[in-house]
This record gives sequence, C-alpha cells and structure tokens, in this order.
Amino acid sequence: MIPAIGIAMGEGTLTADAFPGRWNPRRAIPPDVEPAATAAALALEGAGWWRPGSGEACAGGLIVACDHASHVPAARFARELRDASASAVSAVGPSGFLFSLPSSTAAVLGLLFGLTDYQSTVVGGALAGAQALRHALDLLALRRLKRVLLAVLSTDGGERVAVAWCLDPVLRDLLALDCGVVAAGQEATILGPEQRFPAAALLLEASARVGRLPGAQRIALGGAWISMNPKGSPE
Amino acid sequence: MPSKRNLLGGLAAPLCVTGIGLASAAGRGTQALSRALEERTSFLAPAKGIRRGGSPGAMGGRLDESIVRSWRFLEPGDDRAVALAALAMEEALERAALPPGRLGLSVGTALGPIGKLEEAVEAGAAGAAGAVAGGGVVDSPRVPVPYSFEAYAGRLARTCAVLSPRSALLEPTCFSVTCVSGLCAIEQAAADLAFRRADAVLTGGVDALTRFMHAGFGSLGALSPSGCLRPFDVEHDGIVIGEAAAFAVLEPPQAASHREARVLGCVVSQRLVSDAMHLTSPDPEGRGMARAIGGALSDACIAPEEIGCITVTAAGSEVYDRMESRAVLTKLGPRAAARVPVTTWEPAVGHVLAATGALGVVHAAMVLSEGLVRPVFGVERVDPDCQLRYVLGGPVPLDSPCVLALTVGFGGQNGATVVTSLEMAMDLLGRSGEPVR
Repeated sequence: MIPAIGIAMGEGTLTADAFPGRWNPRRAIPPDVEPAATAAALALEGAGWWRPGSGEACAGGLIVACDHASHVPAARFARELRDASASAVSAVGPSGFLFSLPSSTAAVLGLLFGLTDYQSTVVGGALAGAQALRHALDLLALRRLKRVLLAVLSTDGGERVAVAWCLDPVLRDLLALDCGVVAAGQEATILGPEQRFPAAALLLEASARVGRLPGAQRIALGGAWISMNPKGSPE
Repeated sequence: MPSKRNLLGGLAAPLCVTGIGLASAAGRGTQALSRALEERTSFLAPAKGIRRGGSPGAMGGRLDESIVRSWRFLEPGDDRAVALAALAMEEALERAALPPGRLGLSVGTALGPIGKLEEAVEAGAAGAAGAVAGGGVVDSPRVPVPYSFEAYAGRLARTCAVLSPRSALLEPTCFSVTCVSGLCAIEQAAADLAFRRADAVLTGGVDALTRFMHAGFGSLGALSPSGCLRPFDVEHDGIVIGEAAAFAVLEPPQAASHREARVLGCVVSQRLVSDAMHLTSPDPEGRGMARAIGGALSDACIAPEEIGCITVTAAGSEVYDRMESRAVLTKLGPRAAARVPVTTWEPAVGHVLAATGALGVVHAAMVLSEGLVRPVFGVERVDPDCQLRYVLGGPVPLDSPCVLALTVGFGGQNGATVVTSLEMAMDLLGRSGEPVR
C-alpha cells in the first residue's frame, strides 16, 4: 500500500526548522537534494510517519533512485581538480566530492528524517526509478523491511523533480507478486514525449493517475497491482 | 527491520557461493590476495595514475596497468572500472561453471566509470566535457557527458554475456551506497533468486582508484597523512585507498546441489543499518553496527560462540577501528569477543571503496576454503581502545565454519553478513525460529 505521495519540483521552502536536532540550523538544506527532501517530507507527513518540527526519528528503510543528479556535481568537482595546481588540490572543499556521490541524497534524507533501517541508492539513468521501486517491493515482500520511503530524484539541466512514496506491505500478497522490471518510460507521458525526467517519470505518472481518479486506486505497474491511497486512510 | 528471523533469500536460502572473483592491487584473482596475505605483502605504494595534481606522494593500491589492459575483451574507450569488474567477473563465472539458465547481475559502485569524466574534463574536450568544463556554460546532463551509470551497467551486462554465453541475462541493477554498495547488490540478488527470476546471480562491487576519488577522500580529511595503513594500531591515522572488483556467483542450494557444484560458502543472513547521524562520519559508539551484528546473528540463529572468525573493514582510522571494536564487544560480549579471531585484507590492498562489502563476502569464502585466519599486518602496538582478538602473529586455524563479515561505509553505513559452510548453513535452516517464508 502507498499511504502517501509527495512530489516536488524546483526549489522548495523546506528549512532546517522542520528538523530540530537533526540538521544544523545554520546550514541550508543542500540545493542539489532539496526537492527530494521536500517530496519526502510531504509523503512522510501525509502517511503520518513523521511530523515537521518533531525532531523524532522515523522508523523505516530508505531507497532512493537517481538518474543524473550526481553528474553535475561530479563534473564541477572534476573541473575544480583540473584547475587546481598540484599543491592546491588539498584545499579543494569536500562538498563538491560529497555531492558527486549518488548516495549523498539518501545520506541527507536519512539524516533529516532519522531513517536508519536500511539505506540504498539505485543508479541507472532512466531505469533507476523502476528498479528502485522493484527493490523496495522485493524487500517488503521478503519482509526484509517493514516499511520504506522510496524517493526518486530526477534532473534535467538545472531543473530537478522529485517524487516520494511511502510504502508499507499491507497488501503483502499483492506485493509478493513478481513485479518484474518495468520497461523504461513505458508509463512516462505526463511531461510529454520528451520524458524530461526519466527516472521519475514512472512514479510521476502513477502519482498523477491517483490524483485524477477519486479515492483509493489500484494501478498496474509492470504486471503487479499496486494499491495507492494518497489520502492516507486505510483501504 | 522485522524482529522475526529472516534468512537472506527467503525460500532460496541459504545462498550458495559457487564462484568468487577478485581484481585488486595484489593482482588478478583471489589467489593473488591469498598469497599477499600469506606473505604479508602490502601492495600500497605511490600510485602513478593519481599523482598528477594529487597530493604529493599519494599512496594507494592500484592494480598494475598491464594487467588492467590485458583483459581480452576490452573495448576502446572502456573505463578502468570496466576492466577491473571484467577481470573479477570472469574468475567468478569460470569457477562457478554455470549451466545454461537465467543469470542475474547486481552490482555496487560508488562512482562507476568516473575516470571517463575525469579524462574528458582534463582534456577539455569538445562536446560534453568541454561544455561542462567551460566557464559560464550551464552544467547540463543532457549534454552527453561520457559518464553514465546506465551505460556502465549495460557494459558490464555485455561483458557478462560474453563471459557466460549460455546464460540468458536479466537486466542489471546498479547500486551506489559507498562501501556497502556490494551488500545492497546482494540484497537484490537474494530477491531475484527468491522470486525465481534468476537461476543464479553474479553480484559484486567495484571502484577504480582515480585522481578524483583520491582527491575526494583527501578533501574530506579521511586519508592517512603518513600514507601507512595501520589498522587497530595506536598510530592509526587514516585510510589508504585502493581499488578492486570483487564478485560472487550466488545460487540456491537446490540448484548448486543438483549440479554438484562446489560450494565455497553460504551467505546465510545480512543486516544493513544506517547511523543517520552525520553525512560523513559514523556513530563513534558503534550502535548502528551493533544493531547490524545483532540482527544478522539473530536471523542466522547463531550464538556468538559459534563464530569462527570476524573479517572487518579495517579503515585504519581511529573512529572506525574503535567503533567496530565497541560494536562487536556489545553484541558478542567480552568472553566471545576475546575468543573470536579478527582479521582483514586491507593492509595488503587498501580500502577498496564500493568493493569493500563484496570483498568481505569473497574473503569470508576464502577463509572458509583455506580453514585459516591470516594475520593482520602493519600493526605494532594495538590501540588500547581496539579490544578484539586481532590475529597478529601467525595464522590461526578456523575452529568453526562461520565467518562474520563486517563492512563499514562512509557516512555511517554498517553491514553485517554471516557466511558459513554449506553444512552449517543447512543445520542453521533447521534450527528453531523458522525463517520467514
């Protein structure tokens, strides 16, 4: 079951105040990660798993998918290195490298929401979102995890979009079906044929369908039925 | 995580390791590492490939370039991380000698083919790299930067197809979770076997040591200023990075038994826990690692007294070495912790980034096969806050066919994996506390 969904585009308004004791209030949420944090906050709050300002840790696993989110920071860091003289390399700051790692988004989300049960990041371009969804459903079906925050961060140039789903295995019989691998972009239409945000397209489409149809819905993803209920009420 | 017992792989448990492969600074193959550990040879040295612009005397563990380039199916433009992975995959698949069937591929890597991006930016080449490198030009991943995890995973899948031509390959999955990347890949491999999508899965971790990687860890202040990797020693002062690819072929016991495959070990249980305390540092008290150890032992139904050996990520930094010690003491208790020998491969080849978790499993299989726990070298005086039974003299016999492999990852990632002999794994299956089906 998907108790709640969060979607964020561009720069949000999330501040450190929402995370007392979990994030240094003098530091902004890193802009490269901010949409994912906003989407996660919306989903977690909607699911009743987390309250802004509570500072409490949220039980559950965290699975993130990224398509190109780490590429720009990586190119930036490579350029810094190229331009630094041999003796100045040691003066290159750590944040460039940190956000070159695709796992940095999950690291920030884990820190903000106190998600400690399991953390992984699926990378693989357009397929990453679908593969991360499969990974999450697999771990729920095998009861490796009780519940999961799935967050997909997709980028296109300077623009970013993030989708987050809270997943819990209420319908474990359905989740136990082989979800297969959802073909890249097969559901990706809401942003037009160009598929600007490939990794997130699948989840965006699924989220949008729920928005278009009233009440709780089941949708088909790659041969498995997924129950979606954005209102957070039990089905 | 659920409190009930949960064996890795569900109905496919225990996961049999029928092939292992490794490429590291010690050379090609697991035998090269085995020899290095036996002879106490360190392959950490000033690394030519990362010197330019790197810190003076940059130390690292790099596989000899001639070996990297010797792989017979290398294509023009292949990144170093492709060649490393290919060498290890080839060894693992050769040893497994799989029959025709469906083969999964699940890989962990922190930065994948980062060398391609570095080269392009260094050269200031036209197109992607030039655009990205050029001042004032919008950084856009839509420009075809020659750096793509998707393409990397695809290249590894093509490699796999060449190496195992009788297999029908599943689409590869790629994880990037710093040093525990390979353990997340094992989680997916276990699921692919449990849901019978695959008959066998090739899974592992890989990262190449490049200037980018070295400077990156340098920028975090994680590297040893002395350039000496001295895990658990009172003088430990940081990590020395290496590169490696470590792979294992996993199969359900029925399949391995049916074809009378040699089982090198069984991955019985695994827990991954994140500290979620700091972006780069672990919980110094080791609470996350203790949780991981407790969960893995409980899932496997193994008592601390039954552990024959612990292999650890020996980062050589004060905080990590001490954190692991605290976690083990907490979960095993002082009596068992004083008895179980602790070893590592790191002084031979360095801290191998995303290959670390997978190498933990490969090393565990090596220890089980050899029946010996090799000593940790490079230690003169043990840090009084590192209170485990580190093997420092000669090798000690493995007195129980059960290895607990501990992996720590950058940013507070903790992994505990239980690897046993097939006989012990089958015995564990029958113990009370049924695995969750």
